[in-house]
Amino acid sequence: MIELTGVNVTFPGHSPGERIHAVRDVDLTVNDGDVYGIVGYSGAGKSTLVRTINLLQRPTSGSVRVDGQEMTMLTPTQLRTARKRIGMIFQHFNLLGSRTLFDNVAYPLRGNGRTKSEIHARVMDLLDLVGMADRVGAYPSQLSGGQRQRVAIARALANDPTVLLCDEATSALDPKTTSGILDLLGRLNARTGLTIVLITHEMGVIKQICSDVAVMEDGRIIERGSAVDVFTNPQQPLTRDFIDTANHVDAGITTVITHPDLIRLGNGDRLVSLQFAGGSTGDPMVATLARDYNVNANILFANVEVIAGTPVGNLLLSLSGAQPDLDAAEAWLARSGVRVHNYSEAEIESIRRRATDEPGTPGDDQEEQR
Amino acid sequence: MIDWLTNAAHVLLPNVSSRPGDLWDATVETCYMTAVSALIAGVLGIILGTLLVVVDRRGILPHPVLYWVLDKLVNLFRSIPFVILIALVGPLTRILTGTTIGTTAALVPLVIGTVPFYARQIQNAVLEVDPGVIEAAQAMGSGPMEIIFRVYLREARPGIIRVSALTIISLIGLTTMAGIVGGGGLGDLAISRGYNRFQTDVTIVCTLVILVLVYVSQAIADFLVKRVTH
Repeated sequence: MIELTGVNVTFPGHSPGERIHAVRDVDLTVNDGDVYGIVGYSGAGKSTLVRTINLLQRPTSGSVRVDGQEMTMLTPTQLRTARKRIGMIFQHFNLLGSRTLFDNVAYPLRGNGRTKSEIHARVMDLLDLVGMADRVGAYPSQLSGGQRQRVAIARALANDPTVLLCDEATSALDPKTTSGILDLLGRLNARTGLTIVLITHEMGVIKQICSDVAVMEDGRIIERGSAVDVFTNPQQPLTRDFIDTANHVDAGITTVITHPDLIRLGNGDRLVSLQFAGGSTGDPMVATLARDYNVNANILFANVEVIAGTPVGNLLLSLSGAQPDLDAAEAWLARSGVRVHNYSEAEIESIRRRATDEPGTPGDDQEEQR
Repeated sequence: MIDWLTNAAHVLLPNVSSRPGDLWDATVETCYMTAVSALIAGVLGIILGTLLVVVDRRGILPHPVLYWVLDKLVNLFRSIPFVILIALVGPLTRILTGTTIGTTAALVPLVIGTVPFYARQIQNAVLEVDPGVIEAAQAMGSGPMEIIFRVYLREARPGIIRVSALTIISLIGLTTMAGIVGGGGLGDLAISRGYNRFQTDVTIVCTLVILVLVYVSQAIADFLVKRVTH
């Protein structure tokens, strides 16, 4: 368990007397077995924050506890011992270029009283775990980025840490390789209960493996919660921005609304979006609307994605029927745990206006402009 | 064949071949001065150069005062011309070697003249090591000594070998001035016989031998750099 309480980090600025406040009053609890994602733009302080956990960055004030141990109070020797329990991987892998894969992974194992054959067995196990055992004699420069990160993961796990810190670990990798590395991290978490703290500026990374997420801006955590909650019900505009980059729901809905052929709302018809998470994604919702509520639903847009293992669906429907029937149908949907949003005339107008104002309207037009 | 070569040497290099032992002795003296001072200055320079990196403001054991002192000392001694340095360190030479003349006495100014130069080169070579790798080592719980020996000096090996070759070559140049304190060597031979006594062939042969020494040093360094670069 990681507990940060009232953590502040300030640096001396460029001009004399100026202080840069990189992390402001952050409280953060990461429970054992969590995959905790911290997302934010560059300069938000997330990298500084994650470095306070193993005290690569000593906080200016505040408390850092890892597995009950107050890190800021340790002597240098105790700190080194504590760091062996906290693995870390980096954006640029930071392998030792003068050593083979074997020697890179063996690096943290040597000098702790292990015998040569113990080290050999452990290194081979670790390289096997990350799928790099066949390249044991290669040097890092002979590997691709994804392979290097696998070796870095093996090295970080050498001393059986309880926590793995990932500092933009996939930011230098292409999407396919990123996915492979995240799969590996997810497997490690599932198999050994390894706690993972991961910082990234890509919401897609959070979506793929994180159980929890915190959004950072200007040194503060501005929103946090389970990944599903944050994705399905973001509170802050920045969070919404990030989510838009990782899913296509908003862009898709905008396309539908702005396209005149797609929406023909009759008098009294309603345009609604439905969002549902977990079990309700499986229910035959549209059929129920027609059968039980006498409401005809026309599906304009539909999308289902899996966030932290939970399916999340989005539907854009035009509903037609008698007004009392429509009200009853919407009430039923809300009761079934579906988030219902009614688009008012004004809102539809404003979405249309925004889309035409922006250079490069979403959808097909954008493709043509490229 | 041998006779023909000997005759040709007598005609072309009359002064060298009349006393061939001198050239051999001078070469041995130059190699001795270069090797011993390279060894001593090498150890001291690596310690000093690494220390400069470690106590740097962004180093693993920042110590601004110590850094300032070392930095200024290095600059100071690098600014003193070698010929003057020989005279300047005379008293120290006497304390360390018991004499101020001879090949061994020449070692003291050679070492003092080389250490600051080499230390600065080592500092630059070690600074080339990716700071991210140092951070990774710290994150793995490595202490300062471990980081110095297992990361800094190891990762910087190609650079260290390169600057060592550079330093040895500059050291070969410095040994030619050792004649001032009776240190002998190829430089001394080239001046005292080749120049002062108009035996130009001696000067030319001394130059050639020095060129060979320089090329061999560089070739060995290039070979080693290739071996340790991955």
